[in-house]
Amino acid sequence: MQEEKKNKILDLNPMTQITMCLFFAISTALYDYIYTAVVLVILFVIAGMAGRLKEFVQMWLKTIVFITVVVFIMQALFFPGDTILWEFFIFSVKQEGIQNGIVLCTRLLGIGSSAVLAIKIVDVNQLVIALEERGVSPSATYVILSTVNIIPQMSKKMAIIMDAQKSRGIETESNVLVRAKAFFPTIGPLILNSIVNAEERTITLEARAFSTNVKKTRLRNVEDTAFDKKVRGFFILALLIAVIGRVIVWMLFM
Amino acid sequence: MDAIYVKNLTYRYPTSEKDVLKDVSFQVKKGEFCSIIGANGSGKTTLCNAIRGFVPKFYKGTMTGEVYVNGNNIEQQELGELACSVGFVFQNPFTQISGVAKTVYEELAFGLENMGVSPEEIKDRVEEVLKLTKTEEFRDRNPYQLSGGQQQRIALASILIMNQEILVIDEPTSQLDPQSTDDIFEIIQLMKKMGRTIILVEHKMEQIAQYSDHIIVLDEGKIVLEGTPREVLTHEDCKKYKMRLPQCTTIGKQLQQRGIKLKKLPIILDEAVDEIKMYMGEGREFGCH
Repeated sequence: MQEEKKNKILDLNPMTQITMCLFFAISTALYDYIYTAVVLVILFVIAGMAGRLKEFVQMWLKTIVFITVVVFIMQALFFPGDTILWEFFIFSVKQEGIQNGIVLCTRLLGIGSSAVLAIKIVDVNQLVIALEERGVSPSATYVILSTVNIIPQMSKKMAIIMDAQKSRGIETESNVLVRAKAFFPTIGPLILNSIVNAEERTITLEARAFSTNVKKTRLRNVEDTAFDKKVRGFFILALLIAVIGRVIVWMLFM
Repeated sequence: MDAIYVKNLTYRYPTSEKDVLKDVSFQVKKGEFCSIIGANGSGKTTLCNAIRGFVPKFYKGTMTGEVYVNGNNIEQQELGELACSVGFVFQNPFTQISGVAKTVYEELAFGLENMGVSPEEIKDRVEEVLKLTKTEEFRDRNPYQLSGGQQQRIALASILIMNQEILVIDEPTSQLDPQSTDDIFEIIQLMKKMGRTIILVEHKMEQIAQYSDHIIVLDEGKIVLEGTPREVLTHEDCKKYKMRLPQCTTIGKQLQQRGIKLKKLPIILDEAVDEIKMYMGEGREFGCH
């Protein structure tokens, strides 16, 4: 059932993977763009080691890079400042805007890319088991797991509702304005539907003895090896050093 | 001891203006296959929910009377506890997937995991049930990607595996095609063979006539007819409650109206065949030219 392929990154305990990504996310927020650039390279290498480089880059370009570019342009154009570098029509690019943009975008890139890596390497099923082993309540983990599983269901249902509304004469394929108009007739039934389904799903869970007071067992358990503990220890230590280092630098410049 | 004993049950949903169940009393013996029939809105589903304890614990509302499952008053039991003694399957196959399992195998294991069964036993039981319900071919498939009929079979299998003595099955085939309906009834028969007590709500009269030991007819929240399939389906009040009879019973009745004498009114196909054989003379070929 489980894939037997050995992979240094994917086989890590999900808590280790998350610790690692958290370290990268937080540390990039503390230091400047050179550090973030280094971290980005490391993130790419990790994704490559996990064999998920292609998925990682695709998602990264579509989300983080896109947002970063948009934010940077907005900052450059609209951040108030006096040093105008370039002017066009009513727009003007200011130096302060660019400086601010670089700081903001470095953080966005660092935190966002780490999050994307986490999404790509952490197996939610494993994560949930690891969380339960650490005492998180099954109800909370159920919410995490079912959300992940239900999103594709929702988009399927969305397509059905769109078709149904199309057959009733609501235009959904045209320019932005027409699409915007079709938004409410499609999103409304989707939400109502989900509420109704929630009731039935509660009954399903009750039927499967979800609310018994017995201690649940798990078919699979997630290994937490000595190597995992070492890796986690390393990243926690590294994070502490990064934070302390940053504080010291601040103190020196104060 | 009766598996289910309902005494003077009257219930009203918080939002409804009149009672949905009115002074309902009946018993179901251990190992019995009991079908509940009646028009839409006659209270069948509510009655199922009452046996499982969802009424009034989950839906609230006002209830009087008592429901005993295996001799215990369910009012004094918690919903979670009842899960281990009463299995519950309902109409909509799409919402009976737990949403946590990636494969059918895990879906079947989910109930047992919640009951705290050891992993070794879970594996054995999943294998056994996959075989019994002939769902082995789906074991590694994502339950969400199965068709409605297949999902309903998985839903039944996921309950069967939990080994409850009593199974409440509410309109399991109402969204399914004839082939899937047969598959579902095959599993239900299997459950009966395993000695489970079954409460089934269904509209397909042919299957009800064939498999039930006991039929309860509900009309506007009241039990109006009760007894063996023969007692109920040949009762003259059937017409009054607008019950649709099995096709062979309808044919039998029409034959009787035309003056043809039948040994007994057929309620299942085999009986109809016997009658026709008798009428045409034993041993003669059926399809005369």
